[in-house]
Amino acid sequence: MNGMKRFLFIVLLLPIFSYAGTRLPENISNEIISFTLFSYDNLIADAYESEKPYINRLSFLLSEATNVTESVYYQILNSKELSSEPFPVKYMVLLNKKTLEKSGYYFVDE
Amino acid sequence: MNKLPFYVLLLIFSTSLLFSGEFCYSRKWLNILFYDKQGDSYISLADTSDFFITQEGKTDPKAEYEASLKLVEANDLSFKTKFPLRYKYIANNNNFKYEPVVQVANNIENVVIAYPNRYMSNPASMFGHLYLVLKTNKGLLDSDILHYVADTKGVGGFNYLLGGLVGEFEGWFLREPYYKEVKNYTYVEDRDIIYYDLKLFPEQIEDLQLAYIELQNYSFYYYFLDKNCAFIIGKLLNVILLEDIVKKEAYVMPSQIINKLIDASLLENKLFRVSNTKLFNNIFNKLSGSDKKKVIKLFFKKHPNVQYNKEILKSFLLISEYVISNYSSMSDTVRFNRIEAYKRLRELNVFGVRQKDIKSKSVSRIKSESVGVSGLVNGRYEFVYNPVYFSEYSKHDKIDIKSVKCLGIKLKLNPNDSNSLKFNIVDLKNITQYNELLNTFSWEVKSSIIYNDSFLTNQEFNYGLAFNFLNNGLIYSLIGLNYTSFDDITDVLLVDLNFIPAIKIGLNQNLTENLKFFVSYENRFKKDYIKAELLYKHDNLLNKLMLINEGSSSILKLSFEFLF
Repeated sequence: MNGMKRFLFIVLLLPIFSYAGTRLPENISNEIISFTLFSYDNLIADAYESEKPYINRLSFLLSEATNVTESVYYQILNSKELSSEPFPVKYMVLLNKKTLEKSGYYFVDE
Repeated sequence: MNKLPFYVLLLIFSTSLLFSGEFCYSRKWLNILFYDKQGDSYISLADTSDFFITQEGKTDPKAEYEASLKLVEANDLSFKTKFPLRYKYIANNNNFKYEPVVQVANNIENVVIAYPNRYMSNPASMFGHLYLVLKTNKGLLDSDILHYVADTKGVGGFNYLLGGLVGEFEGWFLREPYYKEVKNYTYVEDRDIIYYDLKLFPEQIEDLQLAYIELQNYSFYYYFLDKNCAFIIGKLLNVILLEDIVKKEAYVMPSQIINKLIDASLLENKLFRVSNTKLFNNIFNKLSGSDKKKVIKLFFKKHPNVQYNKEILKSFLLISEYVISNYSSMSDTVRFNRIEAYKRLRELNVFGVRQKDIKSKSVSRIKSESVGVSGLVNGRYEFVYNPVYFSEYSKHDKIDIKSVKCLGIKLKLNPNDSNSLKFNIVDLKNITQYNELLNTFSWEVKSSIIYNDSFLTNQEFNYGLAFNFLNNGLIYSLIGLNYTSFDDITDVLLVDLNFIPAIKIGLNQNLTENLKFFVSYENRFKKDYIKAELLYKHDNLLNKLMLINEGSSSILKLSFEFLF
């Protein structure tokens, strides 16, 4: 009986767990966080420039980590929402949310 | 009885002994352990005992080699892991099967050597710096830099200078992501940077990474003059190159290492990155007064939906990362306005604001020395040699005067009077344009010892402001102090060794691409001087015609100085 209760409890909480997503491994998360914060000003510049080496690199890192195509992250990083964010930490948190939405993975605990 | 097998074995044994003896004193082995020859003996630069297998390893390459050989023969995993390149060399040298136990990145396409040039705010960086970039097939942002940095324990000022001279600081090799470190050089220190591709074989790139693994946990004492970043990076390159490019010398500068690599045809594909402040000044100075004010306002007040013209916005964006990196209190406003500026530029269809590296057609030596001769109308002659001279007359320093001269010797021959010998320990000039935003001040430092029948000295320091003049020159005003027993301008002995205040007001003006005109009024050594000078630069030859007037007397001087 207890086993059934525990099973039902887990089943009911499953959507919440699923929504919470999976945190990427520590070393990968750290690399993404570090690159995003260090390169924030260049990521913003990339969003408005014709050459986008920093956005390309971050798209690649996120794609490798989450198995979602680079073009998805490329669009996110060029989006109005991210390219208008003037605070590096908020930019990273926003990117974290978008990554979670698109892939089920996240790289920083909020 | 057939003695042939015995002789064969004896031959193999004696050859291996001979070979073993040779290898422990070979370039490869001596370089990998950073040995320097001192007379008949050896001493390693490494200052951590763990870097050696034996107690006498720091001074005995042979003992170190023999102990290492035994560990390789015993298949010692710890040795192979800690010292993978020594293991590789020993295995190859003794025809052992080489089975690497550490992994190195196999996606490194080439190695770039970067030379950020002089940074006048730090005595240790006035001669430039060197680091290596391990460039992967995914580009620079995926790459690491390999550099040697000193832990200065946070000390500054005189203690820093003294500590660097006497070897008080330890230095370490570090491997760090390129995107992190490049910010330091590009935006915090804002230096010009020259990049060259090093011509290396894949095997050498692998060996470089293995050498770093060996070195990463060990320190070397850091000395400003001879055991600095340039020397240690040069020693690291010695490990992987076919010929040594650095040897122990009285002083080693980054430019010397670059020049030696150029002489050995080991560099190609030169790229040049101009500092942001220089680019900013070029654009900013062309703006009208009201536009300049608008640029400056963008740093202090948020401007939603900014509607300024593209030159104002480009000027602001060019210097914005430098301001964010150096004035953190302004970063919120600057970051907000950066986004607004970019939005406006997009509306104006303007892209490509960020600077790009400039490709050079050829790789040429860095000029860091000079030799010169002057003739004066009073029949005197001067001969000058500057073993360290980073001239202000480089291509990208058209307005600012940033020059570093050290250890210069000037011999003055006077047919009618005694001769003199002057030793310029340092002669530094940092005359850089001021604007409301950058707040940069100008200064000069000079320290000389003169022998003219007796020993005399002149110690000089000047400080002040310089302003852009017609975007093609500088007007400057400096005040300062001399501690001197010698008039440095006319080479006249003073009565006493004294502190004497000084004033300099001058104009440096570019007349053409290669012709400059200087005029100044100076009150120094309690006298009034007016100086006028024409300088024509033809390739590496500086031709100067100078007139110095003091009261009723004048000196006319014609000089030629060759930079090399």
